[in-house]
Amino acid sequence: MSGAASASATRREQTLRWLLPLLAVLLFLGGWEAAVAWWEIPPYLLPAPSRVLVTLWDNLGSLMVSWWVTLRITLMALALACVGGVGVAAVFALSRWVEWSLTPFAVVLQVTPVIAVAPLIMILTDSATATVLICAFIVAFFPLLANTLTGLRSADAGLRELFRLYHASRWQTLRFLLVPSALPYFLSGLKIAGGLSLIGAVVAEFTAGAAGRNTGLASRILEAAFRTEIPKMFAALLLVSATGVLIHAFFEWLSRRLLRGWHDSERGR
Amino acid sequence: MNSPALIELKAVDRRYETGLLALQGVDLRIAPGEFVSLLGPSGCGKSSVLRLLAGLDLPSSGEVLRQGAAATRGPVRDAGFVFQEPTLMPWANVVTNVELPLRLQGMAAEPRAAAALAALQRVGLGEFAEAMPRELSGGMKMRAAIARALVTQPALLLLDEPFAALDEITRFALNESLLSLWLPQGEKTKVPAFTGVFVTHSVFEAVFLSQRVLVMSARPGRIIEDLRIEGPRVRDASFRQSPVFVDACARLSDALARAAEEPALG
Repeated sequence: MSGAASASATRREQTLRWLLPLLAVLLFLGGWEAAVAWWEIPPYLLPAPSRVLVTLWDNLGSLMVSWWVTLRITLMALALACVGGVGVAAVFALSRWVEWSLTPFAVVLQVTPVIAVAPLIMILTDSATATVLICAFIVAFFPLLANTLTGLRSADAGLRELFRLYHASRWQTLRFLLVPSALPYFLSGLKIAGGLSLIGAVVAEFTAGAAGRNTGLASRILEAAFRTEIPKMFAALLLVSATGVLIHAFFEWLSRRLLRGWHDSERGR
Repeated sequence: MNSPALIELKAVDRRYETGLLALQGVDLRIAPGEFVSLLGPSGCGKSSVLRLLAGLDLPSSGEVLRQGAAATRGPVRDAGFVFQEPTLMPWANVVTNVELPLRLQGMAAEPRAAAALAALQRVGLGEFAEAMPRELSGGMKMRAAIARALVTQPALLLLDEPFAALDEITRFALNESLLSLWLPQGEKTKVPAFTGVFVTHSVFEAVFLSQRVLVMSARPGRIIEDLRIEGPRVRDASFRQSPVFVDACARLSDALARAAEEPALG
């Protein structure tokens, strides 16, 4: 009987788990809508959520073009950061000397605000798209490097010894021991880098300031701000946030899928 | 003792770079098919001896002979290893863990899986081949580790306090299983499946398992007692009540007490 009671308690908890945040968001949006209506706030100061949605729908064509530009750059930067971060981490893991020599560069890249570097890259590359891509890459690179490196180093000492005892080659050790050991760390780096590369892509575009056709969501936001089309600005912002949430949710799902069944971080979820 | 030794240590000293003298004048002969336990207080150098036997380390002075020839550096082939921890790969299921040594040797997938399943059946884990390590109890994990060590059918099995973290009941059960793996039941020839070297600090475990128990003194480690355990080679739980067992335990407990008292010379 107590088992049934605790089972129903668990079920209730599971329902609350998604119901509560949903209610909170709806309550927030409802309050916002009501406040705008009640105090008659003009849309150029604060548009009501309903108005933002209508504006989004009306401008869907041009906004989707920009969204695709931003998303493509974000994903390309992330892919490059994965290749670069994992590759450099593997080299660092193999050679302490290389690591000691190159770590300062990685740290400088990490601590220098990307928005301050963007104008320089703009001058060097003479291309807004390349600038945005490089900036997004820079911010996504470091978490992937640092996490993958920690992961490669975190392989269990007992298992390392076991591999040595059985005469495992370097390649076998990498493939059967280091890669699986590093996977959870790499995935958590990916969750961070996914959000960062989007931020990098948007922020860099503000600086690169490209006008014209092939421009991303940042340009739409700037444009809307110049023309005081605040609802359109909100619509573009909504798309940026939604993209970030989607990227995060995707990597969350991927991590759960790959680690379920063995890694502590995904146990009992 | 006239049969040629599988491994022999002759007047072995081992001094580490820190200046610590771990072993002093260790002489040791292990004949093929023997099951020998190394018994001693913590930090007496039992594991140092095991590392020398495994080829993970070389002596500072003295000789390590394998089948009469001087040993070279590098882990010995044809040996199985069981550590204090089961050290299973958490991301792989039990059978994948057990087949690891064969995979590292480059064996094809099918014979590899068949050998791993056979090894799992021998340790009584046949039904858990697909289970993940975290689903197993401590004793079952250790059984999986033993299956992995035996999957290559090694001539030598080295065990470093494998059951130290287990409760007494589980430990007894695993001791019995280990013995039946060493000397498979129901075979007329009664040829041991491997030569066993077992490091432990439990007197009962050493006596129950071994044909011979070597007691080591506190650091620097020396062998101060070499006791042959009489009694049947095929033993079961009832052996723990036999006079031979009780007698050997008493003698070894005595030796162990002396071992701890020995003044350190290093």
